Amino acid sequence: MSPAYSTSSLPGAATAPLVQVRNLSKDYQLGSFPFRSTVRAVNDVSFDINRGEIVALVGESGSGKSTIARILARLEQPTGGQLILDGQDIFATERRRASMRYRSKVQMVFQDPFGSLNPAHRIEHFLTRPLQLHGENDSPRALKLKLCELMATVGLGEQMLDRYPHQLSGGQRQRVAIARALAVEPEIILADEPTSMLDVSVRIGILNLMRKLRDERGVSMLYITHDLASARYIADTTMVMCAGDLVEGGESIELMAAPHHPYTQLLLSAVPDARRTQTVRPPKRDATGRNAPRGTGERIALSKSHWALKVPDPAH
Amino acid sequence: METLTELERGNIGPAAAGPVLSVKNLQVQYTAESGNVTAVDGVSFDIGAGEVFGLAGESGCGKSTIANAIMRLLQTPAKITGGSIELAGRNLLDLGEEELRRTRWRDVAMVFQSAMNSLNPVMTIGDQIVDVFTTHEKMSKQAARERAVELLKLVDISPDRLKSYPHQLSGGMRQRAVIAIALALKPSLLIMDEPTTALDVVVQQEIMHQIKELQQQLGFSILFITHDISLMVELSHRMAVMYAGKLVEVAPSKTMLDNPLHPYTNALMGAFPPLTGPRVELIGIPDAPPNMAHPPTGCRFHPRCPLAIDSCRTIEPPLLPGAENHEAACLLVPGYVVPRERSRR
Repeated sequence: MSPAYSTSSLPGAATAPLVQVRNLSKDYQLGSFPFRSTVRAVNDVSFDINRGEIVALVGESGSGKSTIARILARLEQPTGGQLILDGQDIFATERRRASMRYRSKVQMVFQDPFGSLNPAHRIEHFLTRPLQLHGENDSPRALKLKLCELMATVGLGEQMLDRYPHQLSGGQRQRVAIARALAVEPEIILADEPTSMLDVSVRIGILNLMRKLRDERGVSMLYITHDLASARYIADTTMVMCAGDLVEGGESIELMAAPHHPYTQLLLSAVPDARRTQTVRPPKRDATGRNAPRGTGERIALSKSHWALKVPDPAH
Repeated sequence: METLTELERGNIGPAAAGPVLSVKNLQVQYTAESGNVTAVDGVSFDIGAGEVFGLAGESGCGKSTIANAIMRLLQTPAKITGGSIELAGRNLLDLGEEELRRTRWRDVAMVFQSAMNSLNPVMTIGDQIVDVFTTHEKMSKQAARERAVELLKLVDISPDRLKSYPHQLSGGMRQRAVIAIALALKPSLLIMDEPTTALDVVVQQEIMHQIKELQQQLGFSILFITHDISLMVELSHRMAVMYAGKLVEVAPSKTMLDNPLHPYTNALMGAFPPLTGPRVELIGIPDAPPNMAHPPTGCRFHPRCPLAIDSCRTIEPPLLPGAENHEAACLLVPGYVVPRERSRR
């Protein structure tokens, strides 16, 4: 299952990373005067996504992983930090007018495939619209050809173009959502929990499709999930988020074989594993650094492709 | 005053020695304009005293319908059309409304998937627990309050949370409160329908751990329903795998894990990527579960089964012992012989 496209570990693979996130922060204001307070959803997060790389962002609800996806999709303005796509500092240079160009490079697949497809339209509409908005003015014939191609890519028959979302199963709907994202030939797809609402038996199919798209088309992906096993299954790199901080990152297999940060260890130990011989008692929350004071943000390199945030000294 | 910790193991009347729950040949149909759909078709299983029994399967296979049938919660268009459900030797299908009202929650209680939806948002947690006691037992409000405090302690919620409303609690705490309410009347059987699906993995583990401890401490039986086989194997003693309205395999959980006999069980287990070992390509299960209005002939899994042979299309295999304590419904199980009268039918 070796990817045809290079990942960060291969020498001379790509010149510069496709996406560079630098010191990204996001604060949310809560309440109104005089009870206003601030919640820091994302705290000083930096990472790269290479061309053709699948990066998984894992963490619990409220850890800030979806906020990062929303900032990357430009649905949310960050409080601070930089987002560099293809060498261009997006928030510094791009204005609203240019967001069209941005979206032709960055597309999103959402968690709920029913909520993300307008029930009043046929499948054909969802794929035609991005092509018309972003593409050249295709002749009806060329357009139809493109639609069929798209459907075939995601493993659906062209007869489904005439159906409505409610006539499709959850897995098929999610495939349509992926086809829609692919229509503009993006360089990266942000997938926010794309399988969590699907039945167990179809999840693997969607994960395999994402992998295939990367292998065959070289699309980068940011895969956001709370399912560590699926991150290990498709992602080259996994990053762990805890309460707004990126606490650990590295090559997926390596990271999950030797988790360094206590929070990563907690997450991994919580995954039900029938093959585990000894019962794991859930560790006490406070011992995991979740409620501990934020550290200095200093990263320790554990290997060439694995790092973790320095754990704050419990004495403080 | 009696405390919960004094609950006697499996003390549920004259039939205490036998199974707590005995479901025999249960059939549930949904009536639709286009014809009847048999969602549960001839399902039989027993749950012993103090036993945790798991029921696994994909969405729509009928596992929640079984849970609702046991609680007698099915409403039109669903109807129990055959079989029996015996709780401590009493057929629940024969009970009238009033008897049913008294049996529910006292003898069998249920924890639903979404804790937020099973709690009343405009009542405090304390009031909701007190409600259970005053409805089912002649008890003063004061005594009921004392019992409520004990119950919350049982699930590690501090007693000052009695005055909290559901929205003031975290998801995990809400689910724990729901479990406390389910255990209030010391039922002999607790039905849990995907109790942790809506929760984060860390919270899920905490809750599962707590359920395990309470079960060992109090000795009630559990019917545990989930699609996550790993989770099920960790908790349950024995489990059944269900497909398209029928049980296809029943075995002790460890046996099922180590030596699944039915191809569907195998496929379901292979649908979860492992956390250790090399990266291997998984295939999942091709296609979707059958339309239950027109279930396939023969073995219902045959259209998706990688091992299907010709006979699978015509012979509907019943659940038969394949090994010790291990039943499966598949023609390909070594030594599996379809009884003659069945195969002719």
